[in-house]
Amino acid sequence: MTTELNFKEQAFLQIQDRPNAPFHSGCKMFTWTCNQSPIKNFTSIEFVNEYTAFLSIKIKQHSEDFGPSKILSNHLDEWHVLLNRYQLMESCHGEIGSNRHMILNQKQFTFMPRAIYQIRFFLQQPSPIWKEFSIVNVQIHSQSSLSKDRKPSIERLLASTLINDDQMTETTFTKIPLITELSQHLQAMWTICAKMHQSDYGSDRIKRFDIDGSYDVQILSST
Amino acid sequence: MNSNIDEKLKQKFLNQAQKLLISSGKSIEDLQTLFRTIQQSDQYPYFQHIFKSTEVIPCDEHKYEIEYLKRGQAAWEKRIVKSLNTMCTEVNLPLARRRNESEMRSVRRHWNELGHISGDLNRFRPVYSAKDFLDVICVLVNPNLKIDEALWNSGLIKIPIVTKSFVEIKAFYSDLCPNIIQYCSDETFNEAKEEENIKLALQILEKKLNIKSVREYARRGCPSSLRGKLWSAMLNIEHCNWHVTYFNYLKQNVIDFDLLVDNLYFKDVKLTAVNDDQLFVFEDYLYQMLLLFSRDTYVQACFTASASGCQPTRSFIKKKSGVEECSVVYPPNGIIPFYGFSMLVAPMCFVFEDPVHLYFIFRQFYIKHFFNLHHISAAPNAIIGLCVLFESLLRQVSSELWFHLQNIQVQPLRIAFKWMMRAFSGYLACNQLLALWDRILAYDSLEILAVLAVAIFVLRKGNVLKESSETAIEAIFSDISSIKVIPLLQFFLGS
Repeated sequence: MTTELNFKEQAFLQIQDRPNAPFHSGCKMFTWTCNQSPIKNFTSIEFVNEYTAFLSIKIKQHSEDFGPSKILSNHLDEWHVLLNRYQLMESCHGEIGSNRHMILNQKQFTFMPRAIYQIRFFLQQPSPIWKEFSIVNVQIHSQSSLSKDRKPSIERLLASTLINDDQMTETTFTKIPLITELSQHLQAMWTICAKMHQSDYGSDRIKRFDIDGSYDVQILSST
Repeated sequence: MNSNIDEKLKQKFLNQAQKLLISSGKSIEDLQTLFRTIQQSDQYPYFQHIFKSTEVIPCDEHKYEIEYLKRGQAAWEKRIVKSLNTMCTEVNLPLARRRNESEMRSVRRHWNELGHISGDLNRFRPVYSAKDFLDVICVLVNPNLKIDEALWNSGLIKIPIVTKSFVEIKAFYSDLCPNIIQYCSDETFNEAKEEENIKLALQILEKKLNIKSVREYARRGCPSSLRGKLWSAMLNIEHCNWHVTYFNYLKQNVIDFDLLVDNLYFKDVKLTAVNDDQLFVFEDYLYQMLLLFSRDTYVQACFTASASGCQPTRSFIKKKSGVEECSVVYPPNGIIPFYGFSMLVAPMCFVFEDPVHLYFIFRQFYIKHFFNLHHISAAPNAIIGLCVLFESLLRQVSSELWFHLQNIQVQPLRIAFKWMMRAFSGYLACNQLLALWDRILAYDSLEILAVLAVAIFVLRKGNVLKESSETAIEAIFSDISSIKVIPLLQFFLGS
C-alpha cells in the first residue's frame, strides 16, 4: 500500500529573533498528519530529492487525541527520531546526488515503528548557492496486513516453485511420443549442448540491427 | 521493483539449492526431505537472512542523474541528428542501404585497403568538433543556482560539481610521486632493473591474479613488450574463438551494408591520422576498426550504463516510419563520430598487431572510458567533471597564472579541452601517449587527463606570463609533442 504525501507549504524555519533576516536558515520542516487510520506495517519511504543536502525524519506513533490516557501517558506523545541527518548529496555545494531518486528503508532507519500517526520531515541545505531545495513525490510504502504473513520464506518459495513445476509436467507430458523417437531427440539435444559448451561464446550477445535483412535508413528521427 | 530483486535472488537460491542437492548425493523423494537437506546446509542461515531483508536497492544508482544535464544532452543529440539529416539531404545519399552484389564483392576484395571504397569525400564534413562541444557545455547552467556565477567561478564551466582537491589528487596518484621509479620511462633505467620488472609482470600475468594486482603493477607503467597483455588483463578481455566469430560477423555487416557514417570515418582518418607522421601507416587498419565499430550493437551498452538516461539515435526502416517494430538505432552502435574520433583508436595500433584483438581492446576501452569524453553527465569521470577539475586545479596550483589569464581574458579550458576530449591522442608523441593511457587503465580513471593538462600549463607558465594576447598564448600551447609525460606528472604531483 502506498500513501502519497503532498506538501504544499514548505516554509523555511526562521531564526528566532530575526524574522526579517536577509538570509534564510537553510532548514525547512513540514509535518503530515494522517486523517484516517494510521500507517501500519510501514516498510519504506520513497522520494525524489531536489537539492536537499540532509534529511531527518521524526514520527509520532500515537494519535494526539488519545482521550484521557493522553494525560496519563504523556511520553506516548513524543516525537521519535526515525532518521537523523541522512546525507543526500555528496557535497552540499556540488551537483552529485541533487536530483537523486531515493528509497529509504529498514537499513537507514533507526527503528521500524509499529504505526505512524504523524510524520515530520526536516530538510537542511547549508550551502547558500542554491535557490530552492525540497523533496518531491514523497510516498510512504507499507505492507497491507494481508501480505504480512506472506513473508518470503524459503519453504514458501520452494513450495510455489515445485507446485508450478508440477503443473508444468502435467500439461506438457500428456502425449509422450515413442521412446526411440524421444531418445533420438534427446541425443541430438545433448550433442548440441556439448558443442555449445565447447565453443566458448563469452558473454557477448548478438543484437542484430537490421530487420529481416533490411537496414535502409533515410532520415533520423529526432525524438 | 521489489519483485525484480526477488526474482534474481530466487534464481540464485534455486541454483545454490540445486548444487547442494547434487553434491549431497542423497535421493530426494518428497518436499519434506528437500527442506531438511537445505536446512542442514551451511547456506541456510545466509539465505534466510537475505530473504528477510529483501527489497534492498542500491541507493547510488541515481546519484549522477541531474535533470538539466539530461535535458542538455538530449538537446545536443537533437542538434547532431539535425546536422546529420541536413548532410544526408545535401549529399543526396541514404543514411544506410544494402550494397548490391558487385559492391559487396568489391568490399570483400579491398578489405585490407578499404580506402578504395571511400568515394568522393569532399562533400562530407565532420559533424562536430571539440570546439562545438565545448560551446554546448559552457552554456549549461543550473536553474537552481542563486549566486551570480561570475562571482564565485571565473572559469568557463558553470556547473557546480565538487571535484578532488590538489591534495586529494596527489594522494590518489601517490604512485607517481618523484621518488618512486616508474617502469620504462625514458630515462633512469639500467637494464638489469628493467629485466626484473618484466619478469615481475610476467609472473603477475601468468598467475592470473585479479585485475587489482595488474592495475597495481601498471600504476608505474607497462613495459612496451607486455603492454598488450597487461591492457587485456586490465580491460578483462581474454582472447577467444568467439571474438574471431564476432569479428567476422561484423565484417559481414560491413560488406552487406553501406552507411553514411562510413564516409565520416573515412574523412576523419584522412583529416587526422593520415596527417600524423607516426600514424599514417595505419590508415587501412583504422578503416577496418572504425567500420566494424560502427556496426557493433554491443556498444549501445554505453547508453544503458550511463546515468544520463539518454537513448541512442533512432530511425525507422524505409517506408515504415512511425511503427515501433521498425525502429532501429542509427548507426548500429549509436555513436555519431566527431572530428578526431579515429585518433582514439590510432595509437592502439602500435600495441596490438592482430586486428581481432585490437578491435576488442578498443571497444572495451571506448565503452569504459572514452565514451565519457563526449557525453554530458555529472559523473566525475565524464568530460564536465574533468573540465571542472582542470579549472579548479589550475586555480589551486598557480593562482598567479590563473589570474593573469583571466586578466587578459583567455580561458585556459579553451586550449585544454581539445586535448582532454581526445585523451591527448594526436598531441603527444605516441610512446608518451601510451604511457599516459597505461595510467588511465591502471587508476581506472580519466582524471589524469585533467592533471596532465594543468601540468602542461604550469610547465609553460613562464612563457604565458610574458604574453598578453590570446593568439600568443595559443601559440605557446600549439605544439606539445615534445613533452615527456611521466617526468612532467612526477614533477607536478611532487610540487
